[in-house]
Amino acid sequence: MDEELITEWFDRYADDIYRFLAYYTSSPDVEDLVQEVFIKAIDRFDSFKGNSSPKTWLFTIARNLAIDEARKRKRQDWRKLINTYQSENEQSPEELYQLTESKSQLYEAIHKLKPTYRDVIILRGIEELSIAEAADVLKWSENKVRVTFYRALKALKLKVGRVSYD
Amino acid sequence: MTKQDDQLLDELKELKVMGSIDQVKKEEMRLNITNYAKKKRVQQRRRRKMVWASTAAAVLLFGVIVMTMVNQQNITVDEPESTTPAEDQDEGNETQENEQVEEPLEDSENETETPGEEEEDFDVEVAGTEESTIVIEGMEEATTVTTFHIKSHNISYQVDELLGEYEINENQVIHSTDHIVGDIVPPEITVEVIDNTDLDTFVSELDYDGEPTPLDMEENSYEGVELEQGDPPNGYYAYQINDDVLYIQFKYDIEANDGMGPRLQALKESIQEIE
Repeated sequence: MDEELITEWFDRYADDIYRFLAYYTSSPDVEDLVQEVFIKAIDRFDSFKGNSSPKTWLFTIARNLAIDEARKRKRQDWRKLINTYQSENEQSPEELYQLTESKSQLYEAIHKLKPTYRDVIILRGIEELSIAEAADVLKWSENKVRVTFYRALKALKLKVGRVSYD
Repeated sequence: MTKQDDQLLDELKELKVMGSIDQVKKEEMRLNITNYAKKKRVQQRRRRKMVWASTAAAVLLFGVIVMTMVNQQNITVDEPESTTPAEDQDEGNETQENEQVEEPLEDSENETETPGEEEEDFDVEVAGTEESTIVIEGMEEATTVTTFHIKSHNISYQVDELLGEYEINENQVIHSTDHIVGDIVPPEITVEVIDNTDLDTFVSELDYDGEPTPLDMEENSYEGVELEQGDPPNGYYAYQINDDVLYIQFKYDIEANDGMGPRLQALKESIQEIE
């Protein structure tokens, strides 16, 4: 794999991969994992046939890495993740507090979902992958992605427990 | 989808815009990844070269093995006992042709070696047979001798039919017989050439008791020494031929092989360089 191509992929998808890994592992400290995703892509480039897009292929590598990483860490550091992201926005302390509380509740609810629901919420809901792309990453049928996403949203509403969602 | 679903989806999408990698960190990661890709490409190129070199070496080795087998087969085909005089004539011609074909190959091999230090691959062939006579206890006896060419060293010698069997063992030709009666020591002669060796140095390193004596130059074509000892008799002849030493070991049972002395004498007299 030549350097130009991997650099192009990195510039285009590094932030997407970073967010995916951060949500998946509930930690903002995933730069090393992002780098690992691209290193693995270089190592396994011969197995990339071009049947899927580079983006979904990289997400597949990232998901496998995240699963391994989750096994190692077994920790839910989502509060740290939210605080890191919120500090990037310039908002009043009140707004920040409201937003933080709201997002914290959402993050917590996402991470209380069962793994298949969490997967599809992150990919479809947060990363906005198409049904086909999500199906490619998860190795599911498109119909399964549709059905599971619908059920995951329903479960998330219950977890968040807001009246407006019920 | 209900309005609540849309609202929830909007909130999820908001999470997306909140996170990105720090630019400094991103630059560092890009550099690491680029360097890794470069290193990987060099490794792959090196691996491909190694695979190519290994394949070439395997092909070369296979070629050498096939050539060796072909050479050995030539010697087997030239076995004197299974040929007629007419065939001998043909074989003689073939041998000459073979020599002509192989000569350039030998020259090209020598080009890569330092003159005077090259070690020849031991290459022996049967050049033919001829009728001869030997004197045993004052009586002339008809016999057949086989001429051997040590092609790698341009030396020829003749061996009596009494030692009709031979085998090549690395850099030695071992002549013996399969006509063994009772528990006698079967006669055996071993011929070999030691490359780039001085006769005196070579003899001094041999594991024999006793002092070797110089060979008579009137009966031998080359300067050499001999040593005979023990019962049953055993010993050696060693000749300085150019830069190499021709080393002939022998052993036999004197009771069963009383004609061995004249046969060894005939062998010594037959030694000569091939033109």
